[in-house]
Amino acid sequence: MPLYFFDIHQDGKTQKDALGTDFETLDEARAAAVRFLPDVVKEGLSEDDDQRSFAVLVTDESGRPVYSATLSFTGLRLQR
Amino acid sequence: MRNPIILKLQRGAHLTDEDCDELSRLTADTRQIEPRQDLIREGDRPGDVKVVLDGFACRYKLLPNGSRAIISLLLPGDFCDLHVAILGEMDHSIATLSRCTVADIPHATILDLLENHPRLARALWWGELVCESIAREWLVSTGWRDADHRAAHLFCELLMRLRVVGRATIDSCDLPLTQAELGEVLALSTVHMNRTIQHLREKDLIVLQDGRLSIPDVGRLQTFAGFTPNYLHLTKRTYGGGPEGVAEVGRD
Repeated sequence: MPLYFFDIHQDGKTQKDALGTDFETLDEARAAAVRFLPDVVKEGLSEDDDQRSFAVLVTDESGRPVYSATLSFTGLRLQR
Repeated sequence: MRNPIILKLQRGAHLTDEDCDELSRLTADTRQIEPRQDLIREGDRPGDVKVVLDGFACRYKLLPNGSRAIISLLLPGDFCDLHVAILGEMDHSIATLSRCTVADIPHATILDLLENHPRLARALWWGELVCESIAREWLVSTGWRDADHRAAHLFCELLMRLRVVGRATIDSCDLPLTQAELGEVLALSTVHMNRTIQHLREKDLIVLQDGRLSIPDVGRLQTFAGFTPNYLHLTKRTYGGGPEGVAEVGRD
């Protein structure tokens, strides 16, 4: 089964996936990325952040990007 | 290697030599089961009660989308389905994860034990109560701990439970679960489980390789996980006083 790597990009910083995970098809890897990204955001957001951007980049074994997804969070204080 | 049932139940009850002999007799009839085999399914009405003597098994339920939720891990010394002696029907399924040695105890034998051997009955009851206590801790973990802490907490727990039954050293044990199976235990997607393990490795909290878990500094992992072994109830209760003695298996 081919190996796919899921790197997380968070406000300019990158967490590279050193291990990779097997998936039978690219569709399955994509579905996994879609499930994975909200979990990353949920754990990565802290209460005093107003602007955060999270992205997952999926690459195949040869390092070629095959899928990317982004989730952005924007908070705005409306009253002081 | 000593019978893991005896090692485990001695934690919860005063067992005489006769009690231990009885437990050895009860669990003498064993069979080998291959990895990833169902022992019993949700809805079944089992005849024999099963006990794990070696290997890892699990309780699980299947979700409508086909995923499997592993709700507890059954380690050597754990009864799989003692409660069905009273409940009568399985409300979840049980499967092996690794190759297992399982003892089958006839339903009638269990009922006889409950009625005629009060010390053993109390020991079995203790065992079931600890199962519930572990389930409560898992409820907290799954609902409230983030992935890294949830996994760290599980590793602390498994190491301690396996030490009690002589299946672990002070800082390492076999852990023959795939990452996908660990994900089913921790309610994490495979990719998330993968990343969690990488995080714990990078922090030098665990070494997980070739089906073996090693913990470089158990105290540090326990602190990181917020793990205290109180819910494992490894100290016996004495009447008129507090817990008897100090758990031998404690913070290192």
